[in-house]
Amino acid sequence: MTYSPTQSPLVTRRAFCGGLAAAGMMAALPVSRAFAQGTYPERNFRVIIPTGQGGGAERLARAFDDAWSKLLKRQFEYTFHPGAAGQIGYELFVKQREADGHNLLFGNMGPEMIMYAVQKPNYRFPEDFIYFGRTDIDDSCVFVRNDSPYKDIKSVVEAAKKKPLNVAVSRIPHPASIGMLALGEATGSSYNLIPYGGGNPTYVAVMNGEADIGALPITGVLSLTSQFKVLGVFNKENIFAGITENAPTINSAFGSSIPDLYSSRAWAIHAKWADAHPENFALLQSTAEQAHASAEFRDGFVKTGAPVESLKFGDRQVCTDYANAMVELAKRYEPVLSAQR
Amino acid sequence: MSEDASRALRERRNARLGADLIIPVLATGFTLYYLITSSNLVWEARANGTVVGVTLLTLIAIQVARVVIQLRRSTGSLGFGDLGRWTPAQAQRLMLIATLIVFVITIPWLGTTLGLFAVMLAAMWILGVRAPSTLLGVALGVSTTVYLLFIVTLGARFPAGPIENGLAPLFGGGL
Amino acid sequence: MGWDSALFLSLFTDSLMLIWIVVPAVLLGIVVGAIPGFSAQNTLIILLPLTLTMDINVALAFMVSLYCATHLGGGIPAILVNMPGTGGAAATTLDGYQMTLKGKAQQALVLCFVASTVGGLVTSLATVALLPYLAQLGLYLRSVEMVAVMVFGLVLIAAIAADDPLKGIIAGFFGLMIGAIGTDHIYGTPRAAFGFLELYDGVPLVPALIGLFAISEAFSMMERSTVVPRSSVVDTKAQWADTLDGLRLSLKYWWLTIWTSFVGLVIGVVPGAGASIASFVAYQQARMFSKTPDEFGKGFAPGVVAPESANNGVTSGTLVPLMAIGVPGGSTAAVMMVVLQYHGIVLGPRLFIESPNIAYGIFFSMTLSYIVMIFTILPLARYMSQVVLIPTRILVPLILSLTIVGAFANREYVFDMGLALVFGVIGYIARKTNYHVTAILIGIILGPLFEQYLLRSLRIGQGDLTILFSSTTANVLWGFVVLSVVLPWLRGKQQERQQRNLQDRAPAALTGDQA
Repeated sequence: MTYSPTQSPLVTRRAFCGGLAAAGMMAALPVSRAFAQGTYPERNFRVIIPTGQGGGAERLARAFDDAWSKLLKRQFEYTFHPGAAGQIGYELFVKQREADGHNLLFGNMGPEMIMYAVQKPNYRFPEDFIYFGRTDIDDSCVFVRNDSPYKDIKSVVEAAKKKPLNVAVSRIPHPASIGMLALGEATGSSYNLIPYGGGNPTYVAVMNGEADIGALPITGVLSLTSQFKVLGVFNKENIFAGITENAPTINSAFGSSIPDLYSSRAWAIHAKWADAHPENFALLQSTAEQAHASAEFRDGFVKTGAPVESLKFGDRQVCTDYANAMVELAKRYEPVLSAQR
Repeated sequence: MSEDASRALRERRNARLGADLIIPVLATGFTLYYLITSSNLVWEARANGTVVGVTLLTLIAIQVARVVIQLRRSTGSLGFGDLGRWTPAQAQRLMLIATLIVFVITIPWLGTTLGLFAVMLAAMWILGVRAPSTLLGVALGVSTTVYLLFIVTLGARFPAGPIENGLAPLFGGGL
Repeated sequence: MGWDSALFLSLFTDSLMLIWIVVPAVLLGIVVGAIPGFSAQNTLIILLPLTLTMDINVALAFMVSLYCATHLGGGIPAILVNMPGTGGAAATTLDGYQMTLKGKAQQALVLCFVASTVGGLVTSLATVALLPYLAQLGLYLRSVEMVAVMVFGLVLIAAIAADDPLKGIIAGFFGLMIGAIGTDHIYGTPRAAFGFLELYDGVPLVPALIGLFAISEAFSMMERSTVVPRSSVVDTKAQWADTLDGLRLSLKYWWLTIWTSFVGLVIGVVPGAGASIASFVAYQQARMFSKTPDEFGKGFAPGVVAPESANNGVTSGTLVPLMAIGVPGGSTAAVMMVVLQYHGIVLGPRLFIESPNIAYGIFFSMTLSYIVMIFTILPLARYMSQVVLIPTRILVPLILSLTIVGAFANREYVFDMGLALVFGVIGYIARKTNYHVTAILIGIILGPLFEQYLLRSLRIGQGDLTILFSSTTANVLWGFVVLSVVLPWLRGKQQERQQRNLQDRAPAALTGDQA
């Protein structure tokens, strides 16, 4: 479909009466493609999301493209390629999508760079693709359900010193999982990580008591505050102190020096195209920054129940530094993150 | 004894045990491949495959033993029965498979609509349809319906070829 | 969240206002459900830009109606040409197609339509009444309990291949082995994927379904001139009578329809499970509690009713965790969540207090869609059943080409089209040599889920195997598993004894006569 959700008024019965074929006619609306030959972007963007539909990535991307599509005057079409911790989506992007500036990927840099370091897939960063538009900083946190016997992070660690605690995580190669391993190292406690393959099933596992605690990026947890309580955050400061009952940072609670562990979603594009078309790439990056600053994006983001404080833009350099840092971190924990003997 | 009945008895006696072993041979090959390629993984990554694989190999061993016993008792042969017999239907089937392989290989270039048209035409021809009106009518009907319903109306991103690209400015749809 | 008649009545009348969107959604849903490869989920993703522009109530009515209709549509080709349109209809082929071969296609279709709509209707109303409890139920069925539920499905492998159990079990384990392809559930390391990226996420269900059922069936079908010999259909010229006969059968199995729909509802509530499992489990349960289990698989009406009713019971179940706790239970619910959140709807318990029109309205839209469905589809049964009279020289090319394109639709990989063909050849050989293709499919569907729940349980138990028997719910389920294995065996023994007694008595009678 090549029309914008935001450009059409709400569909009413009258609008619909032309029957479903109307959808087809609407698909044909932007004949503008014919007018804009030669100026970038020449057509709509095709975006690969390397996780499933309905997840945090999709919600964020759609909120973002509402603003971005207006600046670029083009729409965004998504395909979802979950599986193998994101490897499928990235390989597809690098190998099968044309490096023409109209194919993008919207990924979660943290877990996906850890996967890159551990699984050693058949593509190279930053030679094959680069991240250029970071949308947010989503701190990893430890959380429990509201009626959990664990009231604070110290009680969690005390219990985990006596017997390993079951921790629901999204994936083993994930910043939040690394955080739990690092917390164990720093305090002499032990954690048994149970991967649920995504945020949603992880929430359910904590809700139904299958796991004692959960470790995930914080924004998703905050959108379910009626169910969960955040106990600690893996960063220098807890920017959500106000809505997490002043949950401490892990390092301040235990005097440890665990690195900041957060997930960051970002837009990615083929490196070859970005380097060959510096002007077009600059346009893409600057419009992404403008879209990020727009009220429209922020409003759309808040609607998903996520806190606006986590939104922080990052350009190519910021993204590259972060991605490389994640690779380094993953290498330190590789033996416990990989199934290879 | 009627001729039919005696043929039935002969066929039962010559149970096509060779054909019975095709699936077990495929399964064994795949299981061995699985077990060998996953041998370097930690136990959790290969536990399920190993348990299922070993059980499967055991079951297959029992099946092979059953076949051997039947062979010894001369109640079966290692023939392939219908599967190995060259009949007109078998020839048609192989031609259909070949056509479908060509269809899958060429669809990225031909596109869905043209590919469907061609494969319908070829498959009906293989199965003995000769009336030009039926051949063209059905093939055209099917490809047009798929184009209009799925590509234009629903905007499904099916492989695009000359027809989809050529008509895109008119109808848009999934490109 | 309690029963409030006035509120519910007004919500239902409100939903009647949406009939203009429900009707086209139902029709579209039936069509996409009937074509293997298309599903509610990918159709809704494709149509997302359209639904996002709709008013939220309209969008929900549209999505829910389309979703429910696909669950009904999948049964149509399963019955007529042994080709399930969706995974949830795979179990329907077992008896539905056999009914068609006996010249009872129309009755089978009517059974499927009535079971689907009644099952869907009952469960959607039950969901409204029992929502708080259902939301809790999802929290009781955890990994450990799901291991037991998966074993129910696996037991079916042995049951459906009664004529040659060894071959049936080999087929089932071959399926489980194929289901073990793809990344492992703990570390995400690919296994046995033959180097194909497209297999990293496991063997995709749609190409396997298309290959094993549709393509292999088409290869067998071409040896006949029509699916069913004309003579056997011409015998039953009074076609409305067949529809009425189907209705009579549906009435006869009303209780089966209801309880199997609840099997679907309960399995639907559990995140990650789904229609294909629900329908197989319902089939297995119906067979277990049947007085004539041996009739199953031979064109027995309950073999159509049970899976179809459960298949549609799932539809309201999957929406429960989405609405009640804000976590989607399946991929279609995930797409709906995108639309809800796009409109700024905050999901979870508060939704039922703050916007009951949306929280409950979605289930009333579902109720309406099922009512619309039964009236639109039932009169069509007699025309649909004519499909079996299309000459196979036209039907076979049609099935082959459309299903191979359908194999592409789900994930948009040309690879999947080739994969469907490979499964088609495997399925054809399996059919010809009596290795049950349904057993292979059950293995492929259950394999990855069984592995995932089992490994998770073992991790939770930290190496202690007794974790599998650590909860009351799980133990009750294990009890049922044991029953479903032991009961048929005992019954078999009893029958054997009876037969022996008869044989013992017969010669005595004979001698008596002589004397």
